[in-house]
Amino acid sequence: MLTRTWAPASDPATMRVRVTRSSPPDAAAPVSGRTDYTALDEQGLVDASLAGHTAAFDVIVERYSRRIYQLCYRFVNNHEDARDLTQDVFVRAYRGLRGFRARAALGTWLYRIAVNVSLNRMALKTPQTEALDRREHRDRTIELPDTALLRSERAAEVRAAVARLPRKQRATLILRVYHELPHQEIADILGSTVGAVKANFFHALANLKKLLQ
Amino acid sequence: MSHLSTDEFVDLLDDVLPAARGEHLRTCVQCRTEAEGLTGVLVRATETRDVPEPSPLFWGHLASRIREAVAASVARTWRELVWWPGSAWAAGVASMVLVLLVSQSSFRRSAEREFSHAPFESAASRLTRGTPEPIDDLEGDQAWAVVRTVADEAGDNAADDAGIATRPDAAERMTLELSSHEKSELALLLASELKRSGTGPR
Repeated sequence: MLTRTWAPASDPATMRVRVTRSSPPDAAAPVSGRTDYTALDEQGLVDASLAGHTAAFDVIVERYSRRIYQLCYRFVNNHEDARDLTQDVFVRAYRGLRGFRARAALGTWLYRIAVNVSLNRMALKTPQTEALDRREHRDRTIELPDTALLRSERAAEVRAAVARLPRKQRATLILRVYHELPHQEIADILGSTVGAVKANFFHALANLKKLLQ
Repeated sequence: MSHLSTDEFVDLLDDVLPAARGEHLRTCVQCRTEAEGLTGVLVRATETRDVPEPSPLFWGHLASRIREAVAASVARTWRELVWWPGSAWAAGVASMVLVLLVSQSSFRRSAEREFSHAPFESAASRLTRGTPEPIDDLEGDQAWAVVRTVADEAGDNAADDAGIATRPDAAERMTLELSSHEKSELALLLASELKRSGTGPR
């Protein structure tokens, strides 16, 4: 069994990792004195992270942070909350890495965490509509062409309408339309079935249609 | 032929609807109208695919901020180890016994004098004599007051800090919801521990 000690320091750059028995993956061969974790596959990165190699977890963050950020933003519609949620997702992921073993793809697992924390955040506060604020700011400063302005307004309307959908429908719509995930993966993320995902997607679109009329 | 089901409408949007069912759309105005409406709103939703980019600095600092947050959470782990393995009951009783032991040890001498002249006798004192009598005025009992005080302090967000989802003031509420019999049992437990350790009132 691996024993990991992560001694926190005031400066995170000086955090020490002591591993009493670890087995760094062979694929992570030293490159110019530093270990290249980018060559590892998902399980290798997870194993290396569990062994206390924080640089391996950094690679996971680097690979998935943009997608996770975009997913969180879709729920909360503002940068501040999306930034906080993204960080929260990876902190939770790190703490739960041991539970990831033998589960679905790493991305699916991270998406599941992101959906859960985003839905929880939504339950705690009314989402801001940054798109509207940004549009107003632009109106005062930059003269947009009519087509661009129209597109911006239509996008704001869609975001506002999506924000009014029930939680499951909203999550399904976001994962399907904006992240283009297959129904089965969405079902895995939401802890649901393909049939339920399809039903939620249908009702999400039907409700969105009503809201946009 | 029956109308398309919700699953089939989704299959249509995914372009995987069997040809035989696709034929139905040619003849059914109701299904065709529904399909066109869904397609239209899907196209419109897709137009808002882009997410505004955060500050470029965000990506550069994200990994270090995560490491910092993880380190902060690891620093709290010892508290979780104290709290998590047992239930709130076990933690509450353990802390009560501990605090009572310390307080009784500190005030042993003065307690001896006070108990000899006090207008009431504590439940712990009676129980350590081996006569667990019913406690008439439990809320006024000195030992029980200690229990309530400790529970009140234990509920002061300590569980939240340790990452345990408990109701606010759970420990305090726990003491309030105990029956008289349960309170007597808890007092007996405390008294037994005091007697065993030799720190209880005499």
